[in-house]
Amino acid sequence: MIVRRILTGVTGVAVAGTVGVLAWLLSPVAPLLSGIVFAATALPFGVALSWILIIAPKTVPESPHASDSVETTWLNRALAGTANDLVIVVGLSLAAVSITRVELPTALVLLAILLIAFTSTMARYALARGRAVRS
Amino acid sequence: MKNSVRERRQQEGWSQAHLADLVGVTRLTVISIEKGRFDPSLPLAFRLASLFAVPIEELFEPEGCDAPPAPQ
Repeated sequence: MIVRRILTGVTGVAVAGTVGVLAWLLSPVAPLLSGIVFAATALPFGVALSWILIIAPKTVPESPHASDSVETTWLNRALAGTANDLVIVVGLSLAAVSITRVELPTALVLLAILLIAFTSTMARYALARGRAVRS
Repeated sequence: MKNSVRERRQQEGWSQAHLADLVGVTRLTVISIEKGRFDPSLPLAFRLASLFAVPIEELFEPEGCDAPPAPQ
């Protein structure tokens, strides 16, 4: 297990390092600073990903009937609802942007889409869970 | 779909958590089934029926538009 933990840390650092090097090579502004910031930001995600791939299979028991649980149904419904929400929001936004000719930064648009998707899924899941738990 | 899971579980003296462990699902799943707010998958329905040693149609009863047409 100690070897796995060390491997998890090393893999996490490798992922963060790769992201940092990519940012350093590709960023047009302050490449060194960008590389450091991106590497630091990617480190926890790299470690978490490594934990999922390396440690979790040995420590977290796999549920043989996970798909039978009501949580899976809630999540699937929430994700389907999110897909609908995104089509509606993106469609309406595209119409508005086309009419007004407003130029929006790509990063802002992608961030907004991501936040809408997270919020929609979270709200729909919480609503389904609340309905089921309420007596 | 109506069901008699709650009554049969209580007859056995099991908690919802214990029943959930026995059939390999979460406690919320058992709660939702007992309240009739979640129709279990066929494999889960069979596991529940097998656990209570009753035919599946005794444990789960369709209602409303889910019910099959009455025989002529």
